[in-house]
Amino acid sequence: MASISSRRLAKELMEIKNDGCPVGIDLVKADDFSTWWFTIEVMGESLYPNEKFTLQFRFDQQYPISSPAVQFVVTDGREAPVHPHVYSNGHLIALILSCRYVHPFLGNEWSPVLSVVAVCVTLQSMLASCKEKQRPVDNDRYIKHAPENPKKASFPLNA
Amino acid sequence: MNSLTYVDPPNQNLVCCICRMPFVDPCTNKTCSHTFCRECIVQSLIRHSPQCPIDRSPLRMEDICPADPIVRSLVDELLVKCSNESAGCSYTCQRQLLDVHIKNDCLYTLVPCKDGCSQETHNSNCTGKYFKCEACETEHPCSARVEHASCCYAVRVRCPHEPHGCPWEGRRKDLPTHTSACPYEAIKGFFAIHDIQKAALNDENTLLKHKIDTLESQLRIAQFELHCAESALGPWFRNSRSRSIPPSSQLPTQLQPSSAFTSRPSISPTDVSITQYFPDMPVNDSYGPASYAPPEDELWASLPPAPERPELPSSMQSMSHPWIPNQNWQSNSYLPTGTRLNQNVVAPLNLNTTLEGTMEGLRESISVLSTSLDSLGRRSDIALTNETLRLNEEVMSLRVTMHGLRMQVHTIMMDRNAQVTGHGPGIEPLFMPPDGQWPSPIPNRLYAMQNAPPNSITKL
Repeated sequence: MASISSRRLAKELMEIKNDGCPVGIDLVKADDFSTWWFTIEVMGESLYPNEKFTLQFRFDQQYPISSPAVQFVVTDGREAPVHPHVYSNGHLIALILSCRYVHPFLGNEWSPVLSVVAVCVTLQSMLASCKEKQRPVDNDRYIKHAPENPKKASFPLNA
Repeated sequence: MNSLTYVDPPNQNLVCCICRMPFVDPCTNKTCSHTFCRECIVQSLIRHSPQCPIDRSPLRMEDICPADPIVRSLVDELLVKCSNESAGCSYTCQRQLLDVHIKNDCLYTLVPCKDGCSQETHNSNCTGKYFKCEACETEHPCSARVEHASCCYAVRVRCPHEPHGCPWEGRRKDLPTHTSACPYEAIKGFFAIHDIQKAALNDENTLLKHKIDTLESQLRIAQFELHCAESALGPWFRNSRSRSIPPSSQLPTQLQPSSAFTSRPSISPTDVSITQYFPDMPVNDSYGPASYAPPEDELWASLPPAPERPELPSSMQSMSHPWIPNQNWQSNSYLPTGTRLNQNVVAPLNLNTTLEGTMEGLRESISVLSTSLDSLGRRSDIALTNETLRLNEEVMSLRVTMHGLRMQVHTIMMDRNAQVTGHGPGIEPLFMPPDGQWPSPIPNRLYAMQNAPPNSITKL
């Protein structure tokens, strides 16, 4: 499986380098097949004009069967967007990154056919469709007990 | 299988959506018909969720079945590089054949060394093992076996001019000595030119053979078309071909009797036996079949035109004379009557002339036929007009006679009426009505007519 994971990521990286990223998304670093960084910017009219956020992808050996661990980078002066689905430590509530099985019609959770770029585009549109800049209601409680890896956290499914 | 390098970028339709590589052991979902590698979809079902990764429809392990054979063939036939490429193997083959190559043929596959070298596994070209060259009796590494064979001085080689016939064979170290003495070496330049020329000739020969093949096939087509034309043209085909040959002298001599004969105007029909003459009647090629007239008419035509013909109907005799000599066809052939004309135009088809001649003849016969039809129509018109005039005259005379009769009857009737009514006492009626009166003059007249004496009728 290690081979599948790295070959799949190598393929995705080659496609990004050949075809480029979608508008507003840029590859910052992809030195290995465990951690990639992207910058993400909401294009057009939104609550986040001229704001650039940094996304961190962490892949395990099971990728793409298991989802990548995605979060906003909040170190080195970078900040997470203020959004009802983004905790202040950069963790996300997004079904697309959930590896748990829910009812098929309830949500678009992770699927092995998705790719890194597809996740970026989904998060970009999540920010673009934001109506109100606010933190999740349980932000403070979550931050206190949040694990380092967002995949290990237990999100409320319908958040 | 999962770490293969493909020679060409694979078709996107053959790429698994999960691993983004061409399918390995492709499997298709029965429920939604999506195709994945078996390993990928099994891992996704076990480790992720029991649904199709593409459309998220529920999916169980039992719903997975092997993909179509055509899909399997398409991915199995993709060209891949040998897995030992990094070790130096440059072999490429179809994916399905790679296992056999790696197992049996690849020199870079690591195998246990059977020759007692210290290494557990290494290339089959063991650098640790030496072989003894039989020719020079020195030892070399196994990996250099091919290299050594190409440079060993003791190995037996043949003269480089062997293809041209040099029989020399000896050790490689003796080759320079032989080369300096080899008679073939002296004309090396000639061989080079000769080889080039030979190759050119071979090429030309191949080209010519091809051309001959083409021409032969064209000839066959032409023959076939000729045969078709022959069968379509029928008897005229042979004639038109023989006409291209200069005509024999037999034909004009055959023509002689008829022209000589018909040119004699004063011959009488009794001098010639018609039945004897008819089968010998030759046909002039310049005439169409239509202009050919049966001999009876020609004989007749050769006679001076007689004013009275027994064949002419008596009713038409008087009117036909003024206009018949003015007709073209009549002046040509002197065929006076319609019945004669019909016999003339129906001549047998002349198979001895060309198709064009026959066509021309048929056309002429048609034109003659139309002319005669035209004259026939005109003649019948005139006959009809004459007959009508005559009938009109007869009707007129009958009408006059009828009028006279009517006048006489009228006179008689008037006399009778005068006798019955005006001079009644003079004549005793044979019958009196019961009332003693005559009801009206009309029944009285009828009665009188019925009782008219027979001698009064004779007055008419």
